[in-house]
Amino acid sequence: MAEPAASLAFAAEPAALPGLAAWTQAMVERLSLSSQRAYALELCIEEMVANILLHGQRPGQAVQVRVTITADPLRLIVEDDGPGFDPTLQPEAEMAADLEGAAIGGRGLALVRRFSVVMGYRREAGCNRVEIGLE
Amino acid sequence: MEISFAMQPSGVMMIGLVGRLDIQGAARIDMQFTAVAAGNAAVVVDMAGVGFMASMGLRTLLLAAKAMRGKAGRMVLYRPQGDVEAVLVSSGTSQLIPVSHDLAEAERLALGTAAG
Repeated sequence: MAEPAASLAFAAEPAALPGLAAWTQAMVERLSLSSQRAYALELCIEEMVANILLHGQRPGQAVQVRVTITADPLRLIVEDDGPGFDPTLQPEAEMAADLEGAAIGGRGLALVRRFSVVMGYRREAGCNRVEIGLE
Repeated sequence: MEISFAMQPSGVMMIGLVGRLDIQGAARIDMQFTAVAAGNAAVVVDMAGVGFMASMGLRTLLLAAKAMRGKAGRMVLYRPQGDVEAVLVSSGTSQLIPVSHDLAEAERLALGTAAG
């Protein structure tokens, strides 16, 4: 029988990060994920939440985030009520040839693509909903 | 996230990182890491104790490596764990900051005395 989904809701603020890290660790243990699958899951959570923290905010009111993990198949669903943003439409960042020309940021979504198998996006009821399938 | 510094007999500054180089870990070491890297011409970063790193950690490494390059300095990443190395390679970062699993080679690369 499929493991029921587990969710964590929080405001998109740096203060929420320790709680998110602890919850993620507990999920990794509960689902007995191999170290490789755990790494992929943790990386995808980190990148999606960092994206919301850095780019998905709006002035005056904290964006609300909900992270859901399902087992069998392993999936990560990240919902937020911030401005519309479809990560599946973002072009692959070009790799710089040397340090001088290299950008400091902008590698997060590319890493999510490499560590996951599929990514889907829906905008519904004023919320972004990104669903990421993991191996 | 812990950070340590040790000047080697070779003249290379060894920066040791231990812990999770996630958003919080990167924020914790960013300033110290960049300041020490930028203050040295040859830096080897011992990554063996880093169990997790994502793009915010890459940002920390790139920021410091760029600051060094502006002063003709060199940074080398030494013995990253498998998944961390996969992040370095798949993001193209290993093309910008050399990765080595051999300390003598890492020091040569950092000092700019590598053969060939």
